[in-house]
Amino acid sequence: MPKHIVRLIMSLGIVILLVIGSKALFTADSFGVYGHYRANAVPEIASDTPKYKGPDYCQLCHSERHATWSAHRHGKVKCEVCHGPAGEHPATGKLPIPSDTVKLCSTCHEAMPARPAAQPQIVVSQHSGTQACIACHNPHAPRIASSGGSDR
Amino acid sequence: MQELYHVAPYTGYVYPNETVFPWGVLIVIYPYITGLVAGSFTVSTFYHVFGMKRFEPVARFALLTALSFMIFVPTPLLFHLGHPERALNALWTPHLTSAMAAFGYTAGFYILLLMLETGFIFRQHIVARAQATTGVVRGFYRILAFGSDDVSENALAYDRKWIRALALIGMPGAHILHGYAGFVFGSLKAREWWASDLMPAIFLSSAVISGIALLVLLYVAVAKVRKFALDNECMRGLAYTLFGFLIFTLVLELLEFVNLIYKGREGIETVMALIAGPLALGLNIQLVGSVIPLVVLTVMIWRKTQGTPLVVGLTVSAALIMIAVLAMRWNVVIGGQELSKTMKGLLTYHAPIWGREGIVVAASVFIAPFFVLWALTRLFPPWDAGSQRA
Amino acid sequence: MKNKTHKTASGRRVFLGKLGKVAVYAGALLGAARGLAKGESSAAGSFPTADYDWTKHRWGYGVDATRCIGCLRCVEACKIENGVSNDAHHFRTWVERYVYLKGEDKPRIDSHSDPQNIAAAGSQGEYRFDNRYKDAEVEKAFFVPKLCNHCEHPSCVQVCPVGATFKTKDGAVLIDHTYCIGCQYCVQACPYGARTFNYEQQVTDKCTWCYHRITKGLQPACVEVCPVNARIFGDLMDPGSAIRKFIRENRVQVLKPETGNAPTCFYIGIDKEVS
Ligand code: HEC
Ligand code: HEC
Ligand code: HEC
Ligand code: HEC
Repeated sequence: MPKHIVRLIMSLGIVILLVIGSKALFTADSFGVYGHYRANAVPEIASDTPKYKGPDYCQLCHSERHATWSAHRHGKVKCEVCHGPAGEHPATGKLPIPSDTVKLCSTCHEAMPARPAAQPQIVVSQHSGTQACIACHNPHAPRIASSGGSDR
Repeated sequence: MQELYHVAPYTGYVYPNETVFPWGVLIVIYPYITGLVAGSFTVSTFYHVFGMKRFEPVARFALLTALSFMIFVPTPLLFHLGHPERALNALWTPHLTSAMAAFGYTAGFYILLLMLETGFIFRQHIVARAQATTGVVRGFYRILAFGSDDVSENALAYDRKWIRALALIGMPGAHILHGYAGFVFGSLKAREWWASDLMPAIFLSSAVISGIALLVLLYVAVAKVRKFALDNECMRGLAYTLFGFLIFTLVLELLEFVNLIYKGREGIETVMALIAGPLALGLNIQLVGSVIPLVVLTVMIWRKTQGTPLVVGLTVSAALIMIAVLAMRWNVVIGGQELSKTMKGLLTYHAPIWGREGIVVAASVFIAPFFVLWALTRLFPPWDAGSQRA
Repeated sequence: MKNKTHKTASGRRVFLGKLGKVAVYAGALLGAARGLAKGESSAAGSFPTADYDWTKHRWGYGVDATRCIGCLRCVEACKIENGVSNDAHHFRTWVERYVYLKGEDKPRIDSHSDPQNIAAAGSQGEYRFDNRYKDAEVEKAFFVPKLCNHCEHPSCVQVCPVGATFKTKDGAVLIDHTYCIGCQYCVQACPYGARTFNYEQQVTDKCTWCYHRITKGLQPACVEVCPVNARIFGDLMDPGSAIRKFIRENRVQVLKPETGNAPTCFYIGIDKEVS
């Protein structure tokens, strides 16, 4: 066989070995343990810290508020929907108290065709105009008892 | 934020994630370039595998063209990737169910093959240069010659075998490389405009016509510059193959189109609106750029046109086909994304001019191979009668 | 082994035999090392975390479109919880509104990213449906929450060229953001429009069912904040779970069943135009 053919075949062999070698070398550590992916990615993703802590967490310190809230109509509206995620609260400071209640409350209560009838809805302009909703409603126990119905 | 991505205007209802196009003009250029590679390599195999003598004048040039473009095939992808530095992950852990995972190894294999084929075809020239020059140039050619200056009949016989074998392997190689690009689109059931079994075949046959067309243009241009006469037989051969593959391509495209319309699956109204709306210009360019060459080629073949009229007619046809195939790539890649997955809305893509995925980068990626081709023809003169005829 | 029967083999043979043995030992060692590496995680009791074993759960998601009030608190909570880009075109969950006006047979559809809704919300970082149909004659209208369907046969996983996205044993489809090359093929392949490209990190992003929450016994953020229980999440392996109850008590359906993706998000109260 001519010299250049022999050398060519040898070089090709080296190339193949290099590819196989680098594949072994550069394949990420936990790759393929459970499937075609880096197994360690799963615990990495699972290790993120939750920001929304849930009402049970609030109850630890704001038990009175929690008691009112859970006994009334907003019991299904989680504290963090209105106050934002707890995150590291209280270590990192107070949670915000919503200032623009017309905007906040109307996201759920503005009358809209697509909203199911079961949802209590009002036409804000007719109901209260620009007045803050909390002028009349307690956000943690929103139903106004004087309207006749029981507050639950 | 806003500079990072472009929000496309839309009508009807589109999923909120569709307003940002995942694939832009770079991914239009990518199959265009691989198509040119597959097409020009095919021309070189006409001579090197099938021994069709009339293609001899362009066979070696065709190979250099394929090599120059192949070198740039990965660039549009690398520019497109969010993390180009992780591109090699596709080599370390290729996911075998992904059409795209085939790219790394196929492209690597194919570049290697083209380099070897080139090396063998020009080996006599390489050895001669290695003996005639000094210094760096000599070193370069000596490495290419694997340090051997053996041009005995025995060695040449080996070379001829390798040339044929490589060309033979290269044919499926080139077609897999490009058919795979068609499969990348055709295999996605999520997009009605793409999800067609004919897509890989259409990509392939349109690749062949674009490659032949490119060679016609380059052959004519080089003949003008280097002041040599065009080989009449070769030009006629190119005209015949262009004609044949053009008909094949058009039939496939028509079949696909008719299938889509005839089956009239859910959202067909939106498909029709796409054809009449955002994609109308592209489709018309594709249509005109295919039909005029078809007519011109038919007439020329009927009248057995020779000489200058053949050159003019073929050049015009080739130029139009180059444009039509580019438009076809656009119509597939962009068109598929302009048709919302909801089948209830249409988007309009506006290619950004600047930026990583803009027109300027895409155009540069397309133009760069021509410079490489020029350099390659300096190193390995494809027109010299003196270099080896395999 | 062969060389044992050839005690008097030539020097070359012996050498080759030794080489073979070395190779076998090296292979065994490597295998053992791999096994050890695997063992480490299982030795701690469970994977992926010390007190969560993914083989003991199989998550499923339910959407009750008849309840959704379109408040978009789920979209907001999801973004905050997962640090998703704060603009209308990047999200992990979204809500669509379908409105049939009197005399029209096709619904008008919009989502939070509709320009009018962005204007009503005040910015792209807030989410709200405007009240554009308040004076229109509406025949029928409803909201449909959407998110990744965490399919049994996910197209996105199928097309990922590197294995950066995958389905976990407990049913979530996740993305390894440190491994994703950013080709966006998965964005194209998903029939549901559930994936977006994160332009800051240059990787694809998607719903994880809040994998960091569900592995700690919490609900995904969107489910946690939903005031009307339109979103239901639970363990399909547990007959008493909310999701099993949801599936048991309703005639559920999935989106685009013809794709064969077999979603594990189940819907009730949607309409033929919802896809
Ligand atoms: C570990 C105890 C603790 C927990 C748990 C806790 N808080 Fe607080 N919270 C506090 C303290 C302490 C303050 C500060 C009171 C002050 O300075 O008046 C506070 C203040 C607040 C305020 C502002 C009150 C004001 O008058 O400005 C809000 C709103 C609030 N918390 C909401 C929540 C919510 C919602 C949760 C549950 C997600 C929660 N907190 C959980 C301890 C707690
Ligand atoms: C529907 C929205 C909403 C929900 C749900 C809600 N809050 Fe409030 N919260 C408000 C508003 C609005 C105020 C301000 C009331 C005011 O200024 O009178 C407020 C005030 C507070 C304050 C300050 C008390 C004060 O008046 O000085 C605390 C503490 C608080 N909320 C805790 C909670 C906790 C704990 C929960 C859950 C158990 C909760 N909130 C649920 C809307 C809400
Ligand atoms: C995240 C959505 C949401 C927000 C924000 C919200 N609510 Fe509600 N609210 C509800 C839901 C849901 C109910 C009905 C609960 C039920 O069906 O028992 C409700 C019930 C009520 C009711 C009782 C209606 C009745 O049946 O009599 C009143 C009043 C009310 N909300 C007022 C407010 C006010 C005032 C605010 C602003 C401070 C507010 N809501 C903010 C979701 C919300
Ligand atoms: C001036 C006092 C006042 C203000 C301000 C006010 N409300 Fe009311 N709201 C009432 C009274 C009184 C009722 C109960 C009587 C009724 O059913 O109309 C009521 C009832 C409601 C109901 C129950 C309606 C139903 O059909 O069950 C909702 C929801 C509500 N309000 C939301 C709001 C929201 C949101 C705001 C702020 C945009 C607001 N309210 C501001 C006095 C007020």
